[in-house]
Amino acid sequence: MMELQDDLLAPRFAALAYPVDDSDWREVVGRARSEPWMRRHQRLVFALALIVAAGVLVAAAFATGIAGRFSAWVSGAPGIPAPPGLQQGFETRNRAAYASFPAGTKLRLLLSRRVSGTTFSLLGFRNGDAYCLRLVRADHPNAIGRNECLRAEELTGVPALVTGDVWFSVGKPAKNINGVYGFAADNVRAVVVKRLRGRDTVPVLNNVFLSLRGARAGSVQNHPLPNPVVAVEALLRNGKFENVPYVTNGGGVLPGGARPAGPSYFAPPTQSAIPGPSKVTAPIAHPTISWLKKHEPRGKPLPNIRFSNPAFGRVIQPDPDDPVRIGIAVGAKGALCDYYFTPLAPTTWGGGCGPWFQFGPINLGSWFNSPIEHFNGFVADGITHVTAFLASGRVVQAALRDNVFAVAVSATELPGRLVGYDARNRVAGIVEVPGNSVIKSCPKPTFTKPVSQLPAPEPWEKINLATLTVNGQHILGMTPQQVEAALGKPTVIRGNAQITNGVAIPEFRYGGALPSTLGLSIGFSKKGDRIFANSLSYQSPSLVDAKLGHVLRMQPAALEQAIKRTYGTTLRVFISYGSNPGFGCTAVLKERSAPSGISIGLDPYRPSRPYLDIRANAYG
Amino acid sequence: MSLKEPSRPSLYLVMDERGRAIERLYRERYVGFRNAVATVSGGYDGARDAVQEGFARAYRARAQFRGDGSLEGWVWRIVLRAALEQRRGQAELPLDEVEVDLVEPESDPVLAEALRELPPRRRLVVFLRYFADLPYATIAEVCEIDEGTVAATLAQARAALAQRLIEEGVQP
Repeated sequence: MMELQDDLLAPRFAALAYPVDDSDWREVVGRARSEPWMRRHQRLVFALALIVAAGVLVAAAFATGIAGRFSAWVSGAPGIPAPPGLQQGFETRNRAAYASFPAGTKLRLLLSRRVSGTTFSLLGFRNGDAYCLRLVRADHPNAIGRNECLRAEELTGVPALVTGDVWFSVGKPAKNINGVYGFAADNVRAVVVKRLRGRDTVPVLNNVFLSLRGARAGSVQNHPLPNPVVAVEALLRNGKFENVPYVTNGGGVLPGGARPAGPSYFAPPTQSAIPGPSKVTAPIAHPTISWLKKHEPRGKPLPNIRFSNPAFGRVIQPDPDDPVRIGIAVGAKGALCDYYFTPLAPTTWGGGCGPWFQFGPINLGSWFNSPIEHFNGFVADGITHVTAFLASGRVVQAALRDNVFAVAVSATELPGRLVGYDARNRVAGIVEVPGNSVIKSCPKPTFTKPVSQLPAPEPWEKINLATLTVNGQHILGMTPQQVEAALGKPTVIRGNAQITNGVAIPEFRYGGALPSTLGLSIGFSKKGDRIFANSLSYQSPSLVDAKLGHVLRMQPAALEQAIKRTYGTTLRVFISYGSNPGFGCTAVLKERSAPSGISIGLDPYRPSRPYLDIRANAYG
Repeated sequence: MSLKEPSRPSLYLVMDERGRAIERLYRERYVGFRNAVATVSGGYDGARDAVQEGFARAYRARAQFRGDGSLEGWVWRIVLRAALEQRRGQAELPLDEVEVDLVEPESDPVLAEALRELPPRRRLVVFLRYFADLPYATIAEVCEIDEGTVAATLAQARAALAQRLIEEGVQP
């Protein structure tokens, strides 16, 4: 067969080809040699395993059920030694940090990824019996990066575990890079990270994975539409897929990214799902921390805390294998203060003061939502141990030292209950920690008054979705004076609905004064000296579109379909109604030629009044 | 005293030779493999994983290569199979029924449109030709179709692109 010399297609494909050579033959041979050898020599493997299991480290791995599942880590030497720059950067940061790792900690480079021109390095190390990951930009090795440590127990029963979700801003013009990273077992070949739009399949190396994606940063006036991670799956070496629990936007879990059959949203879970004791059997009458009141110098001195001037405070490290430190202090007015020192941060990461044990003998401090949740706080004298009961069924002992406790658990296992016990193992205090929402179907709005009985629309109730105009005028972009001239005097003007850089920004309300009764709320924004309308939020049942009629007397899903049919050439669906529970019972449609757009839907807790918003930014 | 019969090459030596051939193929053609496979995986990360896994399997199973086709075609089928495993429920799909697309169609919308005019299952032929620079015979072997079908598909793609370019006002 004679082959054509193609000067038409070939150059175009050549221009599209990704030229970077990221080949690694050693990795190929490593993959080739690992599993089949294990299969061919199962007996030998078993015998070796018995011998090696005598070692303390591996015995611990067996005890936690991860032996043979995270072999790169159990062997103690995953990846390769970190390049000098990354190692020295860590040491510099570690020396300056308040919540530091032990001096002499040696990092290993597990994998690198280059995204939008920036290289990210995922490093690993052991800290006591904890496995730690550090994600950092390779060109900023002494930055704080993201650091997460967890114990082997967290890795039992799952093929992979997302330990961090990250966001970086790089370059000029700025690009946002976000994604997830974590651990994966030996039998996981790759991890599939599903986003609202698209998915990434990333390989597993050294029992870890890293998925990052770059996108333009945009601006306040024109910011990009969100594309969050909605689910994570493990591609096993046998070709099968297994769900990796992941808490997506909206605080719930979409197993495998499977979308519900109908429009849905995330609703708070019922507390009855949480195991563990629910009643206090040995209350503490006057909860206090006597050593703190007596100013005993336990732990380490509290560093200078900005915006705070405690009378006396100390820093406690409850878990010697976790660098997290908790500051405990008596505030200037006698309040009980807590401060959280995250790993490698130079000072406190957050905290505050409040009454002593206002809600019982367990004082839960602040925490930051992340795939691994770090709960910490104080317990009153008399509580000798704290146990976390999780909705997953797992029970975890919190570290407790000098009345300060800390426990880290996967967010996917929540909600939970922290239970404080006294020396006689009686329940002295309980604190519930919020957790993952559950998927519920969007309610259908019910309309009591037929359309024929609705009042005739006012000028501000006449819209045209083809042009996003109101009564024939482009309201978006108008000054408050122009809006009033175009639509008439509002029912209520909230003169200082928000304050931006000391400037009052108004809100106009038409057809009602209260959020629950108003027909239209016009929001304004400020750019430079100019204040202009940037959103119109309708709830008025009399709202009419030039072609579709009473749009807020239609079911939202039907309205979305009608808009697609009628205005599909100018508006495209970005989020279909209730298709992603993380966004709630809403649909977002963006103008094809502009950042503006509309959203339609309803508040599931007040379903009788669906809404239609017209926005300068479709998702803003 | 009798002369010893010359011994046949041992399986080990054959395997070693094939191993070196697979390694050579990997080192010389990796980028082409990855770029073509990316149209199956939907991205370059997934493609890299599939190429690594596919070559590992080929290296592991090199003794099973029977030599009734080219080694390259054999490796390609294994790599593409590894890529298909990333697509739920498609691991067993015949290679000539796989629907593939450009990873970044927005980078060349005219070409993307032209490719969309091809039957989806024929696009793999185009990608193997232009991303991996495979000869017609190897493409035919990988996709298990006639060489004539390969040639016809490529001609159709070329005609579709030419038509698109004319519509865009560009002289092809």
